[in-house]
Amino acid sequence: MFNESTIHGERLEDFAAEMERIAKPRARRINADPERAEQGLAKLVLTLIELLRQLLERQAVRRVEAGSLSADEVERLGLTLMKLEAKMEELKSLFGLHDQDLNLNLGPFGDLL
Amino acid sequence: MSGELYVYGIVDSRCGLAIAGRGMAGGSLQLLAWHEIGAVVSSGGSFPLRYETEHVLHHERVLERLMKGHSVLPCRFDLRLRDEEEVAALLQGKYAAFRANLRRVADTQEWCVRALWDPEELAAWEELSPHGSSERINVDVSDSPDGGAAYLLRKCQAWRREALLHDFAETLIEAVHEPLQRHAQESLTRKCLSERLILAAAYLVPRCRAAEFVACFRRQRLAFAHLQFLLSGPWPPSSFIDEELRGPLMVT
Repeated sequence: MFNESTIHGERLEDFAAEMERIAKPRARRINADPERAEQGLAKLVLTLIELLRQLLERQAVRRVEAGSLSADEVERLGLTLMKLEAKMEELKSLFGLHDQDLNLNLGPFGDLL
Repeated sequence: MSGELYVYGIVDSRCGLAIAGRGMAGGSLQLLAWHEIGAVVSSGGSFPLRYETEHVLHHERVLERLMKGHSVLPCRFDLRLRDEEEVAALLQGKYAAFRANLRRVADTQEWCVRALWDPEELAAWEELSPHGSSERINVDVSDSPDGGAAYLLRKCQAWRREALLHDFAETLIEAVHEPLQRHAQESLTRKCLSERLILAAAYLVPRCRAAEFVACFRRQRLAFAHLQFLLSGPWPPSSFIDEELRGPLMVT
């Protein structure tokens, strides 16, 4: 396509499809539009809650794998996390947000989530 | 007619401009210098209100021609400045950063390597991985498949799969990336961008070692025939520009 650059690869369409699939929205800033300030703020708050939810989930998985919980405790912990996930879905839907919206770019450190 | 200047890239100005030709809006390419650095710009026409694919390719072609004779810091597409004074202000304001970055990428090219794999291979890999094979979750979910324990079990499996993927990527990077980086001045790697795209790496390769780098890539491609590889380049070294210059100014 370009004058001098070369591309060596097998099925280019496979790479193109994968890159397109993982492409993230460009703008990850708080929406400063006064009409939609609520959504911008919700995005920030829900991103932080999602971070905490994922940390809790990982910790729970570690405890289950370590075998330190009784069957009853596993059931209750699982139900709590399941409800937390459902509530997050509800809040995202309420503010018109999707999974890929909940992130913060930390510059050289990459994305928060 | 517009007085705006379209900016393509920043180069070392001491040798003058090594290329000629027309720019984005039909005007001649020219070098506007400030001490030892300069901006390659074009002017003299009206810039389109709406860009087409051809305009993006034109921007890229100018950069690739510039690369032949210069070390270049590529500016982002559609960077337009009001007039020569504004270009001079940009060069003056970021002079130290531009010079430092030009020194960093002097006589180099950027090459990118991506690798895809088939996630189905994970099953085979699991047998070899410390994360796999042994079933460590002793939870009976047969009575309540939609209950809390079943939910946690699914999460455990998902996290385990992710850990496996990262183990595999680490091993892959060690095996694929190490020989390549020996031919590079610097490299950046990202792993597990998705379940399939397991490696995306950029290499800052000295021009004199580009042929060696490509030959090394071909060897790696043969050695890891179960992966799909993509090598692209040479590109202007946009991945190796300091954060300070990125964003609104330079290619990110």
